[in-house]
Amino acid sequence: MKTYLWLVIILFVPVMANSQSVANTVHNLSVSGPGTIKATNENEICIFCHTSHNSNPQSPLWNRSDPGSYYTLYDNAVSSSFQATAGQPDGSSAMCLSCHDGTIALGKVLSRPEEISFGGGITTMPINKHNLKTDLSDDHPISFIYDPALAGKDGQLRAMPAFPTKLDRNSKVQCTSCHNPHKNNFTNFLASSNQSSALCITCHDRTNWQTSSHQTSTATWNGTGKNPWLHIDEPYANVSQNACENCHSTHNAKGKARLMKSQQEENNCLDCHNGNVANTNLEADFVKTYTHGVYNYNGLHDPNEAAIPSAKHVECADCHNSHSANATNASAPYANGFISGVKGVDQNGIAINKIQYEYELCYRCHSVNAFTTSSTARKIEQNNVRIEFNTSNPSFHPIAGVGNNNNVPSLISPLTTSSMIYCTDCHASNGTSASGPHGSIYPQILKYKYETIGSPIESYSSYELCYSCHNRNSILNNDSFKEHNKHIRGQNTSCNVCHDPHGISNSQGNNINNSNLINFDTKIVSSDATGNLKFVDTGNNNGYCLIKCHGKTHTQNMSY
Amino acid sequence: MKKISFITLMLLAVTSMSFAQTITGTPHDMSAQAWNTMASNKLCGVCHTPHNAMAVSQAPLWSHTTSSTVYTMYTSAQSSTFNATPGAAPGGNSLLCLSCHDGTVALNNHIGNTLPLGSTLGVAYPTTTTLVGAALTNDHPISFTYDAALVTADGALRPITTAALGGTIATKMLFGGKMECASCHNPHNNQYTSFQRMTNNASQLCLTCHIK
Ligand code: HEC
Ligand code: HEC
Ligand code: HEC
Ligand code: HEC
Repeated sequence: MKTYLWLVIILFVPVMANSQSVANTVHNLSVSGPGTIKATNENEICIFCHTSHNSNPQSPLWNRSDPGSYYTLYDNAVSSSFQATAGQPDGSSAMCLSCHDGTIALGKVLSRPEEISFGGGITTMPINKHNLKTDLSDDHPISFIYDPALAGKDGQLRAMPAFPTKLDRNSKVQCTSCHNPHKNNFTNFLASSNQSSALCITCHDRTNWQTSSHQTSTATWNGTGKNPWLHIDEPYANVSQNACENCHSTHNAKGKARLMKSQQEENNCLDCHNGNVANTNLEADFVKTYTHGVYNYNGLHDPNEAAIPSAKHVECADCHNSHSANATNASAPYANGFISGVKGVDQNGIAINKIQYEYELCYRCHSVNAFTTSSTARKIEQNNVRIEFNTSNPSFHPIAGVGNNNNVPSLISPLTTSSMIYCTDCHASNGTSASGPHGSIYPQILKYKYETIGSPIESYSSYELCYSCHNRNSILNNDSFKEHNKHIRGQNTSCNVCHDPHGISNSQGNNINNSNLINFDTKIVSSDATGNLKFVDTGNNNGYCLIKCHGKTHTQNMSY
Repeated sequence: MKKISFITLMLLAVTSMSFAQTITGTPHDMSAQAWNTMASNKLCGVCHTPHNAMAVSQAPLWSHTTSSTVYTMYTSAQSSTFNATPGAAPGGNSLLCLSCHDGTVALNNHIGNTLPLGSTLGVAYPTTTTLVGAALTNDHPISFTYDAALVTADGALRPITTAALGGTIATKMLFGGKMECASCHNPHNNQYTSFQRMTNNASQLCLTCHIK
């Protein structure tokens, strides 16, 4: 007996001292377990899962009943971008679920005639985040075949998972692909540390992820407002370390499709982009009067949708690819890092998967499907912005190509007639904020004030939008149009009355009547007695108008 | 051969030996069974015989008729994480246990009393949970070599030089280098129930070999 006692001690000590033992984890459900959920008397540890005989299923000597197949799956109906074939949990996943779905008593093992009793009267797993229930549609999919064919279909997966992630003998992803139920060295029984999402990226290979800000940023939460990482069990300190988990929940995801941490799409972004993690407070932009109204839509966004969407909606992800976005600067017309890797429509109207130029992104919604219409009624109406910026138009702002008018004396250096500009040079959040058109206090999400209604009193601020590129003195000194001052100051006429800021389509207008972005606001300018309503260009800084404006008929005699 | 003669001696002096004390009263004590009509050696004789013992490997003077049934083994076909390569059939002392526990040979079919199952007096193994059967796929794998290479392949096994039962895994728990029924069981001693060779309190038996 003495020798046995010694043996027991000798054997027991190294087992317990080994930090890698199941004995030290909450999976030790025996009386010696460190957790709160444990048996009242049972002293064997393995027995809750394994038996040496009469196991079922037979490997690995399983000691619990198969919970059955009645689970709600994460499948194609949950997420259109899910390419695999979902099946009821099988293999080791069924075994994990024999406790973790909360339907079978923890102490109900095959090798004991009586159910092993648990402290606190616990039978099945208590309702908490570890109880996944039978609705698995908010959990990472399991029990599906992962092979190079799937990787090909998905396009953003490695051909095969990298170590330590493993598939079962049927090439299926199971709970054990990510978890090692015997060792809890990395929290949640993960097979390896998931710092910087090391585990996720053994399978997921997102284009540009490695250089994206969500992978590289060392920004931390400043402790103000809502903790953006509340959904993570043990969050790391910064964005780069939390990586995928900044936005995704592998289990119990509130936004089921694509396992988003938040059900409100925009909150996945705004929980950090409110000045508390990321510097810029976009939340403040989206509550302004004129916004790309991400709060107004929910559940409509689909990453699989065509570059030219069919239903009007706007979500952060329509303009940003969070797996690719970075802070790289660019100059017009090239897309900067913030909108890198997003879909678009090119100047020819062709849908493209990855934009090169910023305007291609805007064309998704503001070209053929014209989800917004022009705010000014004009002689020539055009809601397709792509057509308005066509470089063979009689006149256009240089978005898609260098302008065709080399006589623009008002341009403020460094701008010249061979410069190009971005849509976001005019359409962007006002005030000190991100460069994108998130929200503005000015209509049309304009960056600066641009008076268009009534008879505005001219000032720098009334037309700050125009004056930030076109020198106010030059305009008011009549450097180009000799009657600018008379109209703008004398008659309180807005730039917008004569000029159509985007451009005039070459199929609707022409070089004589529509040079210099001339396309009259028909609320203010009307036809003369003979039915004419036009400008006639007679050469550099020369021309006349045949119109009636505020009761005054303009004739050819008023040429300048 | 020294060992055999030692056993012979022991078996001859049966009742005075310590094995007799530990086996008495256990489920392996079949001496009081009605079918046990042996004149002497009633306790050990069901399994061992001092004379004319069968030529079965690892069988100390074996008496009980061995089984000729076909077994299905626990192999990597069931479990992708199983690295060992068991033989096509059980070997070593496992065959001895299975000569009763697979249920195909009568309990009282042994040397000096060859009563095949199905014959009028042949006593079948009782249909209880202790009937292991011929399908060994739901039982802990046996009859495979447990060596350093397996330790490496598995990644969570203790080296066979690890201390166990007063020796090492290699010297005390393996037979011809292999895992067998007797790696975990001592058919003569039921001190730890289920004829386990040590207490399985806190799963110590399992954790002797497995680093889990
Ligand atoms: C139910 C069958 C069974 C009975 C009954 C039985 N044995 Fe054994 N015995 C075995 C088996 C199987 C082995 C080989 C496995 C092992 O070594 O444990 C064995 C091995 C042995 C060995 C050699 C190994 C060692 O542990 O030293 C001796 C000696 C032995 N038995 C003596 C006895 C004696 C004496 C009795 C009667 C008191 C007895 N046995 C009763 C099954 C039995
Ligand atoms: C001669 C036949 C025979 C041999 C050989 C034999 N056993 Fe048994 N064993 C029995 C019988 C009979 C029982 C009692 C069955 C019952 O009542 O369910 C039993 C019961 C057991 C039990 C259950 C003990 C308990 O506490 O309930 C275990 C464990 C066991 N045997 C293991 C073995 C092992 C291991 C071997 C080989 C080393 C072996 N037996 C060899 C006949 C045998
Ligand atoms: C890895 C260790 C191990 C091996 C190898 C092993 N057993 Fe067991 N066996 C056990 C343990 C542990 C128990 C007790 C199970 C329990 O109490 O739940 C047991 C129980 C049993 C029982 C009783 C089952 C019951 O329901 O009461 C029998 C019979 C048995 N073993 C026979 C065998 C036979 C025959 C072999 C070889 C084919 C074998 N064992 C191999 C560990 C083992
Ligand atoms: C004497 C050493 C030893 C003991 C004691 C032992 N095992 Fe094993 N066990 C092994 C070896 C060796 C393997 C084969 C490992 C491999 O192939 O990777 C194995 C395999 C297994 C497997 C199959 C693993 C698979 O991948 O399919 C399970 C499950 C298992 N053991 C559970 C147990 C349990 C539960 C106990 C305690 C009742 C136990 N073992 C006791 C040595 C042992």
